Amino acid sequence: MIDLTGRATYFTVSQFEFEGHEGNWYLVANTMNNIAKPGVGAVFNVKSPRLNLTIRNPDQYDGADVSGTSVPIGTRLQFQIDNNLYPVLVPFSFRGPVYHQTGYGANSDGYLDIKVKCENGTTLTRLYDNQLSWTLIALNVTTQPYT
Amino acid sequence: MWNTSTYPPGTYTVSVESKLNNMQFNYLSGSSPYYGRTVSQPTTITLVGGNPSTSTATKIGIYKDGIWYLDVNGNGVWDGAPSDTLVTAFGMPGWTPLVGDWNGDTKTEIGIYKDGTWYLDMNGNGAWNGDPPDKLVTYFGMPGWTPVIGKWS
Repeated sequence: MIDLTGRATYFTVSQFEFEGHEGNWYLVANTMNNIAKPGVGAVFNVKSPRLNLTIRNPDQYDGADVSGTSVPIGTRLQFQIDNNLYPVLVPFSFRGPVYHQTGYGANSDGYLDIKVKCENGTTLTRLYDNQLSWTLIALNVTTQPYT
Repeated sequence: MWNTSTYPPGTYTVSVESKLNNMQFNYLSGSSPYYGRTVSQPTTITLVGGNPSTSTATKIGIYKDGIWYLDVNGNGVWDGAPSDTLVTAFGMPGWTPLVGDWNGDTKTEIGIYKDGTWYLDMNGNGAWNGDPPDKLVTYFGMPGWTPVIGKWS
């Protein structure tokens, strides 16, 4: 059971809360011994409560997954997200457009943010590829998997 | 692509999260919509080794009338490109050169100031590409005032 008090219409679908609890979720009342509220069907269905991100080395065979490992400085790296992107790629079935929306600025538009945090706690918002830096925030997603 | 050549050694924690609350997952048709943001478990990458010349230490540079000579390899000698970096046409005579981490990537970018107008090289490519991707700030200062920068918060 999760308590959505104060966040009933907007909450983070975290792995911590939903991993292992895939399936239908129902509205319950603590005044009724936490049984499903009569006459109310499933409120939502949890299928894949996670975004998996892996760190890849494109210069190794098949873009080896180097997540959680050590690499020499100078290694080129890519990030790959390979699940839960279907709702992004099929917008009219699941959501309205969230990219280049009227009223949203450059930092609030887009589908995904990638957070890269240094040991000193600084969160990087851009990363360099040679002389150019690329943003990590408000990323548009066009393919699955997304790299 | 992330080229780690100029990043300091250490462990970096990487995660991804959906951005807007209309990332609507697993919504049952016919029921009230619930909106959620999804986040990933963080993963890490550790950068080891490295060339001292590409450390995070601050290096010197020199500026004159829109031309910048930046001692990127930190040896105190002008070696020319590609070891060092020459930037041309970023500024004009009488303008004040600025440096700072405008985009939060821990590297230093250049900028230029004149009478309340700021041109900041947000994407760090050493060229003025317009706003966006670079940053133009107007009416923040007046003639005779001195620009200052810092991480105020």
